Parts: sequence; structure tokens; C-alpha cells
Amino acid sequence: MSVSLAAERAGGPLHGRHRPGLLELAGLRRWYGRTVALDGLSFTVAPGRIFGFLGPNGAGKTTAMRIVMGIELPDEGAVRWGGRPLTHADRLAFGYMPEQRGLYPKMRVRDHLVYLARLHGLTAGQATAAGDRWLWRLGIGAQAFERVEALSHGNQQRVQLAAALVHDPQVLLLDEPFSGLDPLGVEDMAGVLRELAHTGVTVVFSSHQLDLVEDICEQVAIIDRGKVVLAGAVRALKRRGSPRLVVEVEGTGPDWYEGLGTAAVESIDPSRIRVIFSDADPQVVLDRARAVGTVRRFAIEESSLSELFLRAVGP
Amino acid sequence: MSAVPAVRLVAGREVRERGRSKVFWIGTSVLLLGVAAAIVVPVLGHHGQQTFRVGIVGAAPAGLAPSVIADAAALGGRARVQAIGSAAAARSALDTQALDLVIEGQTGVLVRGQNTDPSVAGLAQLVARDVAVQARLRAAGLPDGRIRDTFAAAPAPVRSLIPVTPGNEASRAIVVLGTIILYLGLVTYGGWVTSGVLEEKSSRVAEVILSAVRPRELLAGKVIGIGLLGLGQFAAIALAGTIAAISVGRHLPASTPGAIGLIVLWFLLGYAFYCCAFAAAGAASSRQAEAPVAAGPLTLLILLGYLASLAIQSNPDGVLARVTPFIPPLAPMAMPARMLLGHAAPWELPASAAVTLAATYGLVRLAGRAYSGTILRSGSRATLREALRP
Repeated sequence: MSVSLAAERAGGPLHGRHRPGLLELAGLRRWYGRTVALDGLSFTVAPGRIFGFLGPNGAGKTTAMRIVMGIELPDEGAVRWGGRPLTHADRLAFGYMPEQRGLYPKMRVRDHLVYLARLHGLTAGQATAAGDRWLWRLGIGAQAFERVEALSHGNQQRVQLAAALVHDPQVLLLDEPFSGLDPLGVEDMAGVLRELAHTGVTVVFSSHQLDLVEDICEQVAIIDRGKVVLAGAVRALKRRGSPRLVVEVEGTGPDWYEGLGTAAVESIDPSRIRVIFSDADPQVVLDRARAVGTVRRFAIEESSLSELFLRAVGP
Repeated sequence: MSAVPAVRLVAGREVRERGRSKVFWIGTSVLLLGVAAAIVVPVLGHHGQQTFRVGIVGAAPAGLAPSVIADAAALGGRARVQAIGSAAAARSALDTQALDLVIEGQTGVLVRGQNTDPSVAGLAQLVARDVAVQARLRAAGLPDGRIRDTFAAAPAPVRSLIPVTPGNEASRAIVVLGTIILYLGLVTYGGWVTSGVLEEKSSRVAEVILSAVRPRELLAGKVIGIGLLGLGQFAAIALAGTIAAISVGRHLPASTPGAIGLIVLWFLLGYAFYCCAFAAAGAASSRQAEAPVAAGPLTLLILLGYLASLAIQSNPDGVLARVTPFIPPLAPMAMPARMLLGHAAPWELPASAAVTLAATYGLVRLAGRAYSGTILRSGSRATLREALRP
């Protein structure tokens, strides 16, 4: 560890030891043989935000994250942080949870975290304190002296998260952090991420489950085949996408909505159908619905991220 | 983090985690006991002078017993000669190892045959000749007294052109034992490197580590850590061997520390030569079963080095002894034998070390590149060409 870094870290809270800044992926291209993994991928993440990096499997999310972490090199393009090209030293202030989880199976949990923290430049004392803090924060303090392999799958996931957090990173890159978690685990993880973002950490996570994460991120970049198809603040994107009208009517035939506009229909039970209009006059629809049966639900809803995605990549 | 502290942390983890494992301590204990036993046991089995038990069937011609005793003395031993009543009794005594050798009157000398001690066989040759010569002398009319006196004469001294001193013997023992330990060490620690790298790759922890340190730092830390453990084991073995040798009263010449130092030097050179290649073998594999296959050529080269050393031990100034120290994969085991047993010119050691170091530099660069190119690669085992692709 460089002396200056050690001195800085010894000084107090670890946040703010580097300039906070925009994380910027600019025109990343990466080929594997003839397969294009990234095709000019560009987006920017502001500090202190939870940024969802979304897209179907094989869209290039993992490749992009590995390039940010310096594990892979882009064929073209660059990653910048605070306006300057990202260096190896900068990356020590990054926390990373790879898609393929990995820890030394035989190592004891606490030793493992201390080791990783020290690799990121913390002193032995700081590393031990940080390791203990995160173990207790994530509810696995009692397992500190067990071998990693002895832990349950869920607890190993927690250790993996602690491994990404133990050096108090300024930027956190999590590749599919929600995969394999039960709903409670998803909520736990989301809570930790919100807390971190609140303290100014830039949180970038990838997911292929667009609907699962749309409540968690403030900003998204949705990518497909190596490039961004949709990016921006989640709320603005949803607002921009035309709202849809959802109507459920009981006691009527399945064709009452014909002629009112473009619609998709689902039957809920034999006597009740749900119709989703993407372009229709709500007043006209409401009048017709009331005339033909009992209206059980009438709502104007924003589009979901997956609908936005399908619209963006659709024909 | 700059390179040196990163390497130190990685090496430190390697030493701590391996040093904590039961396997390491069991392995070390077995090695120490083995070395101590190799030094102590031959001494225990060797009770000073050998006593040859010789039986003579029927009436012994005068002069035969004294000549057997003189022959035994010429071989550095003693003889206990006894008369046996019948040929059958003598044979069964030979068979049950109550006797080493039976003289059947004028007809010849009998030994067990299978597993005959080489010195018993030597004695048999001498005695057989005595029996024949004494019969001729007696037939020629020489009195028994003259025959007895003649054959009881002490042998003329045998001298060596190259004196066999206890120092030579100690050097030979150090080479024999040292080469075995070198061989075991290189194969074992090389195997640790391979399996350690593969563990990092297959458990996917490499990706987490490599987000903080560079591949060459992780590689350097791992091979240095394992090398330090190996060196520690080596030192413990040398110490245990020395203590064992002193405690059983073996003569240790002043050259012993130098000889041990030479073995340690070549262990380091050999380990440096092979370690990164073993790491590359681990990185190129994706499953535990593939690792021995990938490391196979390396273990084979080390075995060749061991065989070269055996050849040099039996002929330390032959062609092999002059050539193999300059073939880098073989040098680590060939050079100590050449140095300690043969007549190496002063330039041979530095020249051999320089050639080995130069080859090490090239191999480490190549293997390092192969390692970096494959450590994060998943899927099938990488081919050499794929691994080295920039």
C-alpha cells in the first residue's frame, strides 16, 4: 500500500478519500472471435445513485462489468471516473461481486474478509474492524470463525456481498446480486444498497429480471446485444412510455371492448376478463364498460420496464 | 496497492492457510521421520565388524581354518569356523541362515545363492581358491605347517588412487538423500502450485482477487508463498538430518554445510524454473482431474532430472555428468551430484546456474502470460496456443 493511501485511510471515514465522480463507460466494444459482446456501449452513472444495468441474458452486462473492473480489456472504448481514465489504483475504491460467486472454500469467513480488505489497501487493524462490522451488519457475525464451505448457500451469498463491501468502496459493481435470493433476501439486499447509496456510494448492479428490480433502481440502462436501447431515470422513462388502461369487467362477453382501441385481453375467471388498452379514450371505455357489466377495476398504469424494453427492441 | 505489498499479502495468505492445514504438518512429519530413519537405521543395522559363520564338512585339512580367518580379515571382518558332521546338516544350517558359507572338503564351497551378502560371496571366492591351492601344495609335498603359515599371512595393502575418506562418504550420502528430497520437493510444491491455482480458478475466487491485484502479483505471491513453505520444510529436513547423523555418531566433515547449501541453492533454482509453469498448468485446467494431465510434462522432466542425477552418482565425470548440468530442466538435480561427487571445474557451477536462470527468465515470462491468459477463462481446458495468444 502506498504511504499516502494508508495515511489517508488512517485519518477517518473512508468515504471521500477519492474524488467522487461520474462513472462513464464510453463506446465500449468487445468481440469474442466473431461474436460481438459489446457494440459501442456507453452510459454514465452519477455518484450516490442506484443504477440498474439491465438486459436479457447474453446482452453483454457481465462483459461490461469485467471491463470496468479491469479483468477484461475492451477492444475499443474507455472507462472514465471523475473525467479521467480509470486506473488500477482507482479500482481499489471499487467493490465487485462477480456473477460467478467465488470465495476460498477452506478459508475462515473473517480471515477471508480481512484478506480482501487488506488487498484493497486497508491496514490489518482497519481490515479486521471493517470485517467484523460487515459480518454483524449482514447477520453472519456468529459464523465469523467457520470455514466458508461450512456455511449455507444464503450465508455464503452474504459473505460474498461482505467481500464486495469490506473495504468501504466508493463504487459498487454487483453482477446479478439478486439471482438465487428469495423475496426476503431481495428485500435485504435492496435495503443494504439503498443505505449505501444514501451515504454517497455509486451502486451499479446488473439484472436480467427487469420487473424484479424496477422498484430498486433510480436510474437504468437497458441493453440488448451490446448496446444501450433505453436509459435514464426510471420515473421519467415510465412517464415517457404511454400509460396503459387496465379494465376488469364482470358479467359480460369477451368482445365488449372491440372498436375502442388497441387492446390485449386476459380472462381472469370465466365471468371476468381483464382488458389492457394501450391507446384508448378512458372516458369512452368507462362508459362502455359500465353499460355492459360490473366494473371491478379501472386503472391508468405506467408501463413496466419490461414493456418499455420490449417496445424498444421490438419490431 | 503497489505490487510488493500485494505480493506479500498473497504470499502471506498462502503460508498461513497452508501452514495451518493438517495435511502440511502430516507431510512434514513423515518427511522428517523418513530422513532421520534413512540416516539412523543403516547405522543400527551395522554392528561394527561383520562376522562370517563358516562351516567345514568332515575333517578339515590343516591350514584351512586359519586361511578362512585371514580371508575374512582381508574383507574387514571376522570368521567363526566350525566343523559340521554331515553335508546334509551343513546344507540345512545354510538354508536356515545359521551359516553363511560351507566348505565341502575338497569338492568346493557352498553359499545360499539367493540374497547372498556381497561380502559373503567375496569370501566364498577367496576360500574356494584357497581350498584348491592348498590341495595342490599338499599334493606337491609341502608340509601342513608351511601351508598354514603361508595362508595365515596378512594381505598386502590395497590403496585407492582417489582416497575414500569419510568426507566423500558423507558427500555421497548427502547427494543420494538430497536428490531424493529435491525430486520430492519439486514435484510436491509444483503440485501445490497447480492445485492452488486451480482452486482459485474453479472456485471463481480469482475474479474477486483479480479485481484488486494484477494477475502477475497473484501468481508471484502464490509461488513465493509456497516456495517459502518449501524452503522451511527443506531447512527442517536438513536440521533433522544433521541432528540424526550427529546423534548416531556419523562423521560429518567440514564440507557438510556447504553440501547442504548447494542442495538448497539448487532447490531454489529448480523451484524458480518450474513453479510458474506449474501455475500455468493449473490455470489452463478447469477441473481437478485435468490438472495432473496438464502438469504431466513437468513432472516427467523432473523425473528425467532425477534419473540423470542417478546416472551421475554412478559416474560423476562421465558424458552425462558434463552435459546435463547445462540443460536447464535437468540441471537442478544433475548439478549437485556433479559438484559433490565429480571433478567439476570452478566455472561449471556459475555457468550452469546462469544458464538455468536465463532459461527461468524466459519460462517465467511465457508461463506468466499463459497464466494471465487463462486464469479467468472458463469452459474446456485451454490449448497452449490459446493460452499464449496475446
